[in-house]
Amino acid sequence: MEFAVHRKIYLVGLVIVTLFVITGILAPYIVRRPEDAWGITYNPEKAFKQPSLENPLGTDALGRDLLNRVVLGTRFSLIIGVSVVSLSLFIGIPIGLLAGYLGGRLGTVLMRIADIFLAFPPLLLAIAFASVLGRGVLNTIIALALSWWPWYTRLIYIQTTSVKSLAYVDSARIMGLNPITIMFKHILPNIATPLITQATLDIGSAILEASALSFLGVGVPPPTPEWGLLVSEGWQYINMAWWISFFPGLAILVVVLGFNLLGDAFKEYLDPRVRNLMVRRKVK
Amino acid sequence: MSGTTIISIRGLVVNYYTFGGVIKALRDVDLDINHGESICIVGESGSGKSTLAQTIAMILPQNAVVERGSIIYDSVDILRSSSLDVLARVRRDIGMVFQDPATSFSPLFPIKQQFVDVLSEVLKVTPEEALRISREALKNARLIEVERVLNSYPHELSGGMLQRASIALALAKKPKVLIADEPTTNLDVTTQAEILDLIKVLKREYGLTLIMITHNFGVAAHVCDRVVVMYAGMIFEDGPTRQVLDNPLHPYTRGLLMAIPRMGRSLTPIPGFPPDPREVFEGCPFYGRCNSARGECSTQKPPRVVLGERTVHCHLYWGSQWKS
Amino acid sequence: MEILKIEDLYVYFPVKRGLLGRTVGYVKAVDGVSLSVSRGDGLALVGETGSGKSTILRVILKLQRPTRGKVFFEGRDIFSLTRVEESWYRRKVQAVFQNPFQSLNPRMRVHDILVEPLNRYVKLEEGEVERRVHELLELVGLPYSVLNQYPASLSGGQAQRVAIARALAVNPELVLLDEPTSALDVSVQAQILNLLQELGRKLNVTYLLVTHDLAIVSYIAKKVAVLYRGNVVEISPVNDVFSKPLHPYTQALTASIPDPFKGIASGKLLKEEEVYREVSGCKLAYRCPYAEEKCFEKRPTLLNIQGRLVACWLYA
Repeated sequence: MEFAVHRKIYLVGLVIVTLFVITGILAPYIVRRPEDAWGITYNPEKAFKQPSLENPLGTDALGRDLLNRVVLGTRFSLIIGVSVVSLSLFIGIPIGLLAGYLGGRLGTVLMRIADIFLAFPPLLLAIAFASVLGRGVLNTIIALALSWWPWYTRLIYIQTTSVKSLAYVDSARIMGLNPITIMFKHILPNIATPLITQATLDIGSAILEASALSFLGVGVPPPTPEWGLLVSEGWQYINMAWWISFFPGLAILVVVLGFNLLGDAFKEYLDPRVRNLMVRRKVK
Repeated sequence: MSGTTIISIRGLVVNYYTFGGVIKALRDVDLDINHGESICIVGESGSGKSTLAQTIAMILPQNAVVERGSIIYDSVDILRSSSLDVLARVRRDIGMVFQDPATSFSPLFPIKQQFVDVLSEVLKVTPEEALRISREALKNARLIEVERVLNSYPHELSGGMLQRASIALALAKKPKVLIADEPTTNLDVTTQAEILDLIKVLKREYGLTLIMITHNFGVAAHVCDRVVVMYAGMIFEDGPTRQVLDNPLHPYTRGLLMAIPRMGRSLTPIPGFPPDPREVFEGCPFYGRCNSARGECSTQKPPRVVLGERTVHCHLYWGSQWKS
Repeated sequence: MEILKIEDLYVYFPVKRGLLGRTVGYVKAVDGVSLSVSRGDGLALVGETGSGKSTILRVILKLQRPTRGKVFFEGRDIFSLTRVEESWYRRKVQAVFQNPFQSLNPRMRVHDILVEPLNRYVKLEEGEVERRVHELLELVGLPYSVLNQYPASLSGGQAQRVAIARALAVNPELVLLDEPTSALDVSVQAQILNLLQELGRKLNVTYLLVTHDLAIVSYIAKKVAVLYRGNVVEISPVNDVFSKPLHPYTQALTASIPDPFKGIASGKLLKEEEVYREVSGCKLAYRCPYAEEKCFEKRPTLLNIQGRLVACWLYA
């Protein structure tokens, strides 16, 4: 905690992410008129209202309050972000551990498969999967996870190969423990730290990519108030009602920034050399 | 042991600041190093021996702070002076050899390039001159295939050869003082003997003052004429090697000598274990492990007692310096 | 009674070069070694870097497959065991490694580290497991308070005691010690050596010690095998190795031990080898002060000199 205060900018990241998570969890309860946000009826008298006291972020083309929509969208982004990362870890960790620990031909084959996935620009791959799977929150999550797992697999693979020659793995082997136990009980806990850092950072990236998919029309379907979708819905009116795309876009920016800052804070905090420098400066 | 004092250390206190706490590496160290001596600083891990060497050579890491004390070299307190001139002089006059020869060399470049780069910078000479000096230094270090060594990368050389090269590099600038920090600990025992002999010979040939750091009394016996025993950041005993080893004064020194494995001799370990370097001591840090401890040992810092050529920091000897 | 027998062991590591990984040569880590360990007497494998002692250790622990040769534990070939026998072997043969901070899982508490082998091999009741854990701690002289700690907060000596306790948890018969004291301070070394000695006697455990430090051998084993570049050059009882070393290499080793009371006897028994080369004769010939023509041509075999084994033409 004291470290976050140390570098004020990291505090910002922590604040953003905390606000994001709280808003996401409480979203349906703090929105004034939730049905308003989901509605698909056209209320011409309410449409295209500029930001005002009654509608702090304005209203969109159908007359829906934008603040409501953005706040509800928080929940979707939270769910999608966390689910994508979790699912990717769920797929990627076992494959990486297996490939790293067993090595040999199996390891090579698994890593080549991962390499094939990694050869594609990640967004492109996700778009391809999403198009095949169709629109929907679950499909978006699956499409993104399918394009994401190889990154974790590679990270785990590299860590596993370097750790498996350490003496405590040898000790576990000579104790006659079976490979699954060794992989999950001895190797994984010791390589988890950089993984957790990376995963935290990735939640932000996952939110961004999900927004991209929705913006392009292959992610979440309307009338879901997902941020990317909101941006695309307001795109055609950008000249006359800029707020419809602007505020959701701003939300994406701020949240991703928050996660990036938090991830950077973790990285610095966990590097022992940097930590020692920090202490010295504090003493001075 | 006559001769002028070239390095004079007084009241040195050095701390390391880490996230885990403040490590008290050196707690009030007084030491005089005389010209032409070969002095061995002996201690276990946490004794502060390496920190002492690094402080003298002015290569302490960033999170180390010299809280108090002075080191007078060449009439200047090198700890208080911020002049670049003084720093340059220290760099030129003090050569260092480390435990891991890989520390002295980058794995990315051949030896020749590293020698030339370092020497042309430190000695302010042309690369050609630096190369000539390098060749001479490597020959003095008794390396037979000088050209092959120069053209090799560090990983292509054996441990012993690489350490000879490190020694050559340290001595190429013709320093006045050589500090060797556990120079043979990583080497095979047959190579160790040769490198130690080499250091002895070179000390004579280059007219050096030698400060060797080691945890091994046998090495000290072979190389040095004076030995300083350190524990938990303090000096416990200081004197001519033969006298200290044949007749150790401090209980710790005695305990250590009895704990060294030797063929056919039973081992008498020292009970307990070395203290946490973050701990602060009212009295003697060895209290609790010492079988000669007395009341005052836990509450008062052990006094410095000078007995002829020897010095010991221990309550047991307080008063004997005035007996004839 | 032989508890372990190594027969004609060869371990060659292929050296690969180029994009396609062509094998251009071999590193002959173990080049024809036959040894046996007697129950109770133990054996010390002494050698410097490149001697092959660590590789032999790894082969015995089945962490490395031999290129050729066999290893027998109580008569059974350890590389062709059934699943039940495999489990039996793992229980009977344990090891203590050099650096306890690397051989103990840094993310496990001491309690869990000690419980792990117990759970694997013995079906004990809940209370019995705890009792056994406390018993182990008493055996190695550690206070119960370490149970809740992680290895990183222990001192080197304490951590190594935990490693020893773990190795002894399920009553092995053979314990391999890989430089068990090299990473420890001198004052702690003595404690651990005494502990190992005492435990060996008390629990009837046979030790196989691998070390470069001849000085500690006498506390652990009664017989010494000296290794040089993958071959055994001498096998002698411990006392004889020190008082009257036979092989020139053994002589150089014993002379090089730094002794506080004698310094180092002589550093010049062997010429320093600057180049590694393949030889058809004795591998020490280029460095040996007694080398003759025969030494360069033909590799000496182990000769029996009054119950001791030496591989040197000096004794032919």
